Amino acid sequence: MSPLVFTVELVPLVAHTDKRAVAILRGDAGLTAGTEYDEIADTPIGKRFKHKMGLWIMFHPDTEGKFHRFKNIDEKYKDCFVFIDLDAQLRLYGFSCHPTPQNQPRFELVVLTNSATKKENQTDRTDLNHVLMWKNHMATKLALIKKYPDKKDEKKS
Amino acid sequence: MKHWTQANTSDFAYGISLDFFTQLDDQIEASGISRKDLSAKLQVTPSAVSQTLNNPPENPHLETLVQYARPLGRKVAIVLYDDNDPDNDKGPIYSGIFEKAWRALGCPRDLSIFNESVATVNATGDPIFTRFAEANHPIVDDLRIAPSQSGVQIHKEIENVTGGLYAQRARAATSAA
Repeated sequence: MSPLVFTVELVPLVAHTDKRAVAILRGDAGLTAGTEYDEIADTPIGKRFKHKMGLWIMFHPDTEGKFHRFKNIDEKYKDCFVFIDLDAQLRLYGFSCHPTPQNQPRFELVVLTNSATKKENQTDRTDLNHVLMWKNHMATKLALIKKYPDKKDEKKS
Repeated sequence: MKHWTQANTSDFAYGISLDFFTQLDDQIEASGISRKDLSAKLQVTPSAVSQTLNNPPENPHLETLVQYARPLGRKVAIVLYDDNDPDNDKGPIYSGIFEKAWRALGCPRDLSIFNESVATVNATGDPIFTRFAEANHPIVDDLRIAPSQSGVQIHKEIENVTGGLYAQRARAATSAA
């Protein structure tokens, strides 16, 4: 059986910068953020998500109903991240990371992994545990290295 | 096409609406007014307010924007600008930045401050300043009033936006000047 191969794909039609960017992790049926996003990308819901990603990229402060980290729950979830659309009751979960600590240590990337449809505002740790599972997956680490090689004089793929 | 608002004029208009209602949401939060009180002033139900904030209209009438702004004591402006991005690859500038920049300048009500001779920062050689200058970035214009109190406020705002590194270098350049 061949090993899992994931890819890190920047969200299209969003203005990523050299300080912040938002990507989708793909390569497994369990990575539901990508499949969910593909379905809504061209709808008003998708446009609202793209707008919120743009807000985060340009350093708009975290907002409860739009996007935020999970700093006050448990230390292990501190890198988890969510983009929210309250009207569609849809959440795109992921994690934030600094994939180029050598070349661009301040560059921050949010990698979307799984999604959830829910009405209530209560944090479900199951969703965050899924994020951590994908974050710590070897195939994820390899995909990030492939997308963002971090050696001097080596260019981004 | 590199940004979703470039697909057609409807999408650009939707982007403007999303910006406006994001700003409105932020200012409702900052003002402490409850959605219930706001809805009473707007003479609509609280759920209608939530619905509008969570799912802004794609092409709102200007009057709708004013109807939401005035109960908060806010006003609305339409800003025409050139950000050196004619193909809109980078998307529109978030409207909240214009409002913050205006406040950082001391909330001028006329254009007189732009006619005055202002102090210029000697930032020559500063790598961050040079990078912005080479990109013809509008922040470079802000730097020209850096020694004044309003300049300090501008740096604080820039720090909020850019994450600190630029402001740190700009401050160093200012104190060296």
